[in-house]
Amino acid sequence: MAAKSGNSKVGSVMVVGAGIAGIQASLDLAESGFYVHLVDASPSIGGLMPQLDKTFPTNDCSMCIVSPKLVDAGRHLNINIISNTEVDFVEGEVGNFTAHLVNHPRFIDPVKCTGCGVCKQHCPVTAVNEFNEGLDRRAATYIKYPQAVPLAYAIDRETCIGCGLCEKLCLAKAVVYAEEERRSTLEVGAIILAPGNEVFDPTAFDTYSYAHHPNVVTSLEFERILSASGPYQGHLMRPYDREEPKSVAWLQCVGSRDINHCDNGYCSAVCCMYAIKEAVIAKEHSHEPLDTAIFFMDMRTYGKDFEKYYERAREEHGVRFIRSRVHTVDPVEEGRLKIIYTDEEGKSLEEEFDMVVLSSGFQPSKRTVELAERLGIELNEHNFAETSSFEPVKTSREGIFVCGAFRDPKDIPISVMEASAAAAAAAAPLVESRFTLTKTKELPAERLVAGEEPRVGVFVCNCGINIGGYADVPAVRDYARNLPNVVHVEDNLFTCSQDTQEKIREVIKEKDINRVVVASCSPRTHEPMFQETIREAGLNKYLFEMANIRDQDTWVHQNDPQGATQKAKDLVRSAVAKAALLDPLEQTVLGLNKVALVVGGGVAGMVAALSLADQGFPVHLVEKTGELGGNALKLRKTWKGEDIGSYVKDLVARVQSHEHITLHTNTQVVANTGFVGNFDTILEKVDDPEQKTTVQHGVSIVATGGKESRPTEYLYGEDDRVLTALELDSRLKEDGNGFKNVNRAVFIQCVGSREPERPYCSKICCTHSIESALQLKELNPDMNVYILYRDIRTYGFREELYKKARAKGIIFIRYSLERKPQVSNGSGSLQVQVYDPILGRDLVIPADALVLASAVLPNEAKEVVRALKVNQNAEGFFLEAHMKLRPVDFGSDGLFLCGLAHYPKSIDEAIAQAQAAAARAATVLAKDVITLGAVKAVVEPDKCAVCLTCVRTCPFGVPYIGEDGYAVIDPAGCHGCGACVAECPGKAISLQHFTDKQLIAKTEALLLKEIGEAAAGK
Amino acid sequence: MVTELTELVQTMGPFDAEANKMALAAVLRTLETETVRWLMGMQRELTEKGNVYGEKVKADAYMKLLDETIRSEYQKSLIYLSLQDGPLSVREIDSRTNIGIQTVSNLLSDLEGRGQVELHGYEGRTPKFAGIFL
Repeated sequence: MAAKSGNSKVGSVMVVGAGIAGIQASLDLAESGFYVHLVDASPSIGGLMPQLDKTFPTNDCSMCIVSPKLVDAGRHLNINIISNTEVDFVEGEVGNFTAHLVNHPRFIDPVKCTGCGVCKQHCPVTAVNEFNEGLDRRAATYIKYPQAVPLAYAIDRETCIGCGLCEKLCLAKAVVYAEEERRSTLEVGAIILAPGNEVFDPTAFDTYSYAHHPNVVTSLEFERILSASGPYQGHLMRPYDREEPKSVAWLQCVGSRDINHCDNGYCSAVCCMYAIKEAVIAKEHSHEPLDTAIFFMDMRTYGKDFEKYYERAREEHGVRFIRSRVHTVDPVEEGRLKIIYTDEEGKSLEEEFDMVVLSSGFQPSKRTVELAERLGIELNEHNFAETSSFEPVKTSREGIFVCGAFRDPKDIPISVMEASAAAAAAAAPLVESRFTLTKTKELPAERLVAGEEPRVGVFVCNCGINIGGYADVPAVRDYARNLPNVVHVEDNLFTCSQDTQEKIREVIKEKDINRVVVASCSPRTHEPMFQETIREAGLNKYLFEMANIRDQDTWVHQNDPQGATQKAKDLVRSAVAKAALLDPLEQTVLGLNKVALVVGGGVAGMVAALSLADQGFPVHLVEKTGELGGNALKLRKTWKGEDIGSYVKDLVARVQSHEHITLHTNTQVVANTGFVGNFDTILEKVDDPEQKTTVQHGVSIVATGGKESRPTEYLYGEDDRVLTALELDSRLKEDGNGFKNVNRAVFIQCVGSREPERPYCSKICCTHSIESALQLKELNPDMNVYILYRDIRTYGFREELYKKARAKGIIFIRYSLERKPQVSNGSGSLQVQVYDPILGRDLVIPADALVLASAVLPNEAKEVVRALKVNQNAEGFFLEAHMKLRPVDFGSDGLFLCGLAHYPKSIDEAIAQAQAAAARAATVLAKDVITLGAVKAVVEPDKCAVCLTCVRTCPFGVPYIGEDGYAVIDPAGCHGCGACVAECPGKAISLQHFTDKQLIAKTEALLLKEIGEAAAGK
Repeated sequence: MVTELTELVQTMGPFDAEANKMALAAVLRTLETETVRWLMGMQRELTEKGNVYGEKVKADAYMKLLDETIRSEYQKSLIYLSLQDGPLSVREIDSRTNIGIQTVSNLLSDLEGRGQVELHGYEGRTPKFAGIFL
């Protein structure tokens, strides 16, 4: 438990829930100077993401992208993972909370457990495997998944019969049957709730046959079927008979948008996209052609690049989309299922499929609701945390924040954004206690090894029986003894165990070892730990090499022990050959300028600036126009009815009066040099280009905003009665009474969005139009209001607004891109003609006002793009470093983005994203120095032909031609990816730690078969 | 009880060992499994003396667990043995073992997890599973 510091506020934060949101919040806080207690009821962290196969819209492997985050959190010196634990209650107030915890026993000591899995292999009893959603079984001693953090088993006490076998078999002596439930307390300054949601259980929906037919599965079960780590190893099979299905149907909105079967009237916001993704991936997994059909009401592909994904699914992959309402799913012969449904025209149809996937929605679990009640957090009518649009991560209890799916249903990137936002919000009241409870490691001086002959120590791991059970480890050890430069060999039961680390440190000193090779598992998870160990023994951490003889050998050659042993020898020989050529590398340590530059003075820019300024960091806020506020100045209310005008007014006042904010209006960015921590940016007055200012800063946040497009159809600009959504807002703001005499108003959605030339959804228009339509109805309840739409995309709780609009008599008529409405004013009045697919005929609606929901465009930001060298997508929105897990980072370090410049979004999402950008920026600014990794590309000037290949190749735009006439690669900016090294035709660039000499030695050694050859150094 | 058993055996007639070869082999294999042997061996210890948590496991609950485990191990043995002559589909395994298509499908996961069965390949859309016989 972290002790209270001398300050009045405690410099630690408790994060409850260790899914991706909780992990991101923890990492951001820990990196910005706060000690974090990450509490989760599960035996391991990760939440839902490890269960997913791929993630939309990039089709990244979910496990592959989340795994580094798990490892980062698990290894972080300032993150204390408290697994198997629940929060009972919390006393105190912001700055000084006491959290009372209930620590459930796991019966296996996570410190001692090496994750070898012997206990699992021999455990005589089994239970339903929750991780595989019940599609198979697991032992009572279990780990949720192989990459789990902490990588330690637990005993499921409900299933365990207490036979004692696991204790007898555990060589690490990690089993502790006597462990009991404990109660403990934590002193923390703030709390972040990130408990996530549970998937809706459709068992009670008898119409879908889920409870009694194995080939009707939930979407999460289907994820496990598709996953390579799932019950069928990623082969697309039906649970009933393992046949590969010919056809699979997805039924949308199961447990969402439904007040008949359940109380979840809201939209779960992610199901449309995951269903499309599953359909696409299922086709990829299928050996034979697969027919996929998605039965839906509205296709809600509203996020960044979602619409393109939807179009590709339809056009390129042939996924069928059937707008319908499903009546029943009935089993027929041979495990097949008949779907009876009604199409848009009202016809009752039926079709048979081999499998049916229920796109189940999400809801807070009972446990989460009870936790919220114990903490005194206000919930909304659906049991999600109640928050306001202007403080999206703040709960009703001061000092307790919320992020992720517990605020409302959402996808991964928005959860990650909110997590960072919550980190910023939690940090703000604790600024004075930053770095008061964090830990730092004291290391001995590095031993100089230059000029010494290589003296290699080789440690071969048995990994319990993971390696030793299949390969002859003593034989590998003895083989290594005779390799060139090897002065010490040993094999360990677990090379990663605490006692072995100590042993490695001692042996390094005793035998003057100056290079270390560990032959064990994956460098991905263990290399940093071993590097740390040798560093603690006084060696440079780059004098370490690893041979992966588990994942890449014994795990894949379990049936060939002889072959596995030989391969282990080959891999060790190869690693030793490289190790002998390793050089100590120096990590660059740089000071940094603890100042931020924020470009854009709209709501997002102002919130980002204030968030950083409130944390004590000086901020330069640059706004191109003479006025702060951006688009929000034209808006009236949020969809929840909160007054935007007064919020913006207050925000502007705070920015203008903040002691840490320097405001630059009528100013633009024209040039930028430097790297993370040390940027120089030249600002220029828009109306006086001669007036320039240079700002020195450590980070930049880009919030250049967006704008409403000017429609080029539907008589816009030709008839005064045709307005855009923002123009209607302005008129309503000025004088709503002018609309009291309007008898008929028509809204047309997707004007300029979801068109071939602009293939994205502008996301906010459906909600905005409904909100405006309701306002008109309020002004004149007798007004006939029509909304002509393609899909109503009132995601999340916005669905309530849609429901309300229908209840108020607003008429919704769907149109298609192929049959767009026609607008004329020939006879003096506006006439809107639209084909109604339900009635099956054209309707002509006379209109007194026509409101066009025109597309949201990014503001032009050429200067910013050029100066900061940041990328945009085809539509001009800025491109984040990673769509899922780095949604507010640019590819280059120290640059962040938020607001409409990233993608159209509502004000609450823009605020959360701005806070997130501030949190990410704070992870840089909070530090006194920046330590850069040493794996960097280095140019040999004599060999450089100035061909610009490296300049063109580098994905981060780092190389440039310097004043001396050759390529320069700034180590501060280089990511060490090696792309330029591979491409340089003159071999003028080398990558430290992966030099040609080292790699050739490694490869040649790998190909040698005779030890004599190796010994001869051939 | 002995009389009842005798009468039952009489009604069943002579035992056709050849026809029940696979079933007998499965029984033998089941009895050799670590799980069954361990559970049978621990029965008295756990139900009469107590387990590692200091609790006595209820005798009827233990019998139920034992029955389920033996049934499951026997069925898995049947599946495994049915694959001795070459790879089979789930339906083909069922036709040789009579344990039900769904049960075969479920138990295959366990056998695959234990490295005793693997996916051999496909015939059209039908996966064939092979036993791993070392």
